[in-house]
Amino acid sequence: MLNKMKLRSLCSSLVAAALITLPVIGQAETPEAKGLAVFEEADRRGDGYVDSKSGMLMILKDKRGNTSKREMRVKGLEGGDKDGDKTLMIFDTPKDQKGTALLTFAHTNKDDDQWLYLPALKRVKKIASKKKSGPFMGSEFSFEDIGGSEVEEYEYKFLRDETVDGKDFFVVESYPKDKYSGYTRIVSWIDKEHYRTFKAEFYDRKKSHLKTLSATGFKLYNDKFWRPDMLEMINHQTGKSTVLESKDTVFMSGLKSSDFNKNSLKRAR
Amino acid sequence: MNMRVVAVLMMTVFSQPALALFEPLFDDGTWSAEMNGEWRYFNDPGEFGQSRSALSFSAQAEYYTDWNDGVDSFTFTPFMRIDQIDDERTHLDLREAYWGHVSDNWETKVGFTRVFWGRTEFLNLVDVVNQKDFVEGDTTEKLGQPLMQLSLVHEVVILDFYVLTGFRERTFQGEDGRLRAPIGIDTDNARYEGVDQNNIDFAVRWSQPLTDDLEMAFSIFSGTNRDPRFDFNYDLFDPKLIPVYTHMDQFGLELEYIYEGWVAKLEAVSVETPKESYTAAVGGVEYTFDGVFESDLDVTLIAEYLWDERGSASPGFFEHDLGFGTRITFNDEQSTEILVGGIFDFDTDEALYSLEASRRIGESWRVEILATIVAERGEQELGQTVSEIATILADSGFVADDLSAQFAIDLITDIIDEKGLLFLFTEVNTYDDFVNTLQQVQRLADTDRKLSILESDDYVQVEVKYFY
Repeated sequence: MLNKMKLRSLCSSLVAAALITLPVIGQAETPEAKGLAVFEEADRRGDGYVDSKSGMLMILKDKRGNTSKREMRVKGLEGGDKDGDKTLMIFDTPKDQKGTALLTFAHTNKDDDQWLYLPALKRVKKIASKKKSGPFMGSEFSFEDIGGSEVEEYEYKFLRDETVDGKDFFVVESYPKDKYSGYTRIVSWIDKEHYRTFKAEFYDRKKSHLKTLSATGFKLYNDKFWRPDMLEMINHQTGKSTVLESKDTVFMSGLKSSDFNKNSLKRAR
Repeated sequence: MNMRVVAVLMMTVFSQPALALFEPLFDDGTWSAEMNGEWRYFNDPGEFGQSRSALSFSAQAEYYTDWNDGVDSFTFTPFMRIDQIDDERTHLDLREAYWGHVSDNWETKVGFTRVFWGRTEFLNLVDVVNQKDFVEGDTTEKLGQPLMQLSLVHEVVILDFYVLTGFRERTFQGEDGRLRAPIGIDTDNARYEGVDQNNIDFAVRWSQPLTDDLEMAFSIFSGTNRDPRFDFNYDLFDPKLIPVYTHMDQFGLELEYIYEGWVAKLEAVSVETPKESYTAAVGGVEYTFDGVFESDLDVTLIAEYLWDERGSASPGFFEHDLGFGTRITFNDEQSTEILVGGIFDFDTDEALYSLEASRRIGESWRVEILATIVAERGEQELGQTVSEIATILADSGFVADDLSAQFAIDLITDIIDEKGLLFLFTEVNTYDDFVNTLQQVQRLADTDRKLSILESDDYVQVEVKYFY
């Protein structure tokens, strides 16, 4: 089931994908340059988290309102200049998947490396990582939603300013460059104050509105990093939805690169 | 012997003075468990009168605790199976009971554990640290191996050293069990040739990515061959196969190359035993189609070639076979998976087909269905008289050991020469039994028809698992 997960730097990005921020920009820019500037600033503001740990609860809802749960823990290590982020994700439930773990080395200039550990067989499998659009753990989040992304992987266009419930937003459209992406465009609502993504609409390959993501319960960590407590992804085509709650998030807890190798994958708990 | 090891360990851990020493082990630990109800139904009645259907129950618990901020840990995983028809399948094993210690660039394990080496899908030739728990039916199941492991990590390079402190004998199906060999295997009287029963064995594995897309591992094993050879006991009234364990040195190579949806894999071994030296390999490719037909389904196609230099003289089933498989991953809420596959020997037209499907039910249950079919290739010509069979056997090279081969030939020749020996067979039926035994030996000796010993064992298995 976990075959071919595509997730980049999870901790920083699961959440960070939803938290895109913006620099102060000049007046005479093109919409494309202005859109790009928004995302570059978002990326800049996410820098410097060093490492992070958090627990996650995913609640899957079907059309009739039946729910099922997934629990996992995520550890992340911020990459340096040459290295991308490293992420270790450990599954606690469903119980038949307990102990399954996924190690990801994100790279900025080439495909990510991913290894999956199957505890029943004690086997580590390297994963061919081209998959992006498939569902993550049977949820409405796809691997590319969960994995976060680098600024360079999209083209952007600033659409308009908008005020919702007294809050000022930039509305920016982004277009994935990756041919394996499941989307043709994503429209994001980013608040002007802290450059956090409150809402995003995803359009599929047929250009129809597929999903809407909303983020709530933003909290400030280490006086620097805004993270939402809850993300909800609604699939308009199937009527299903997934809520993703994070808890016990800690930054700079002293994780080392030795916590992110194949041996640590095997003993992950 | 397994039971003895388990008992000694339990006594050590639970004795009063030990309890004080081990007390931290029982603080703040967590338990998890998996219970498994299994029902097998065979298409045919057993060739030797075994039952067509069999229920079985197994349970595996895991206790884990750590201290010193996770630097030290203790894992305890007992396993138990109770089988309705097969006494040998009813067994206990200590899958894991080890202390683990982790440092920045090294870690160590001491105790019982299971180790996996390998890359390929149909067969893992390099994977020789643990003995197989053959009675489980699934050839990937392993017995716990007592060992000391030191693992050195330098960036992406991992170097593992193993001292294997104690040998586990392979488990085999009993007389009343299904999927057994035509002649029973005398697990109580296994023999050791040139090795001590409690030999200490050694292994090393070095694993390293060579490029971004290419991973490599090189391994060395020196110790008692986990794969026994079999000798016939030449008791024609109580025929048995005796497992014989000998020394083995093995060099193993693993390669795995990943490009987009393609994965190419290779496992190769070079083996030296006192009797022979040979190489064998498994290699192939797999390709994954993501989200086929605009659904969430992933479909992976797998093709591998299995090769053994010894050809039909190799004891395994697969010496020049092609394996094909399709894995369908539904990526749904219930983690549904289907694997369909077949292994084909184009020289002998033997084929083995299998289907596996599994799906979670609710939060804590999982159902798995397995079906296996052996495709036959016509009737085997069995010798009808003692002399016919003796001639065939003498030519077969079945008995690896020259001395015992000579003994067998002499014995049979004597019987033929002195027809008077027939007085031993007071009833005609006894003579038939005698011929029957020899016919079974002949079946085992027919290396072109290895799968024929399982030809009446096509079955469907349903497992219901509960996770606690």
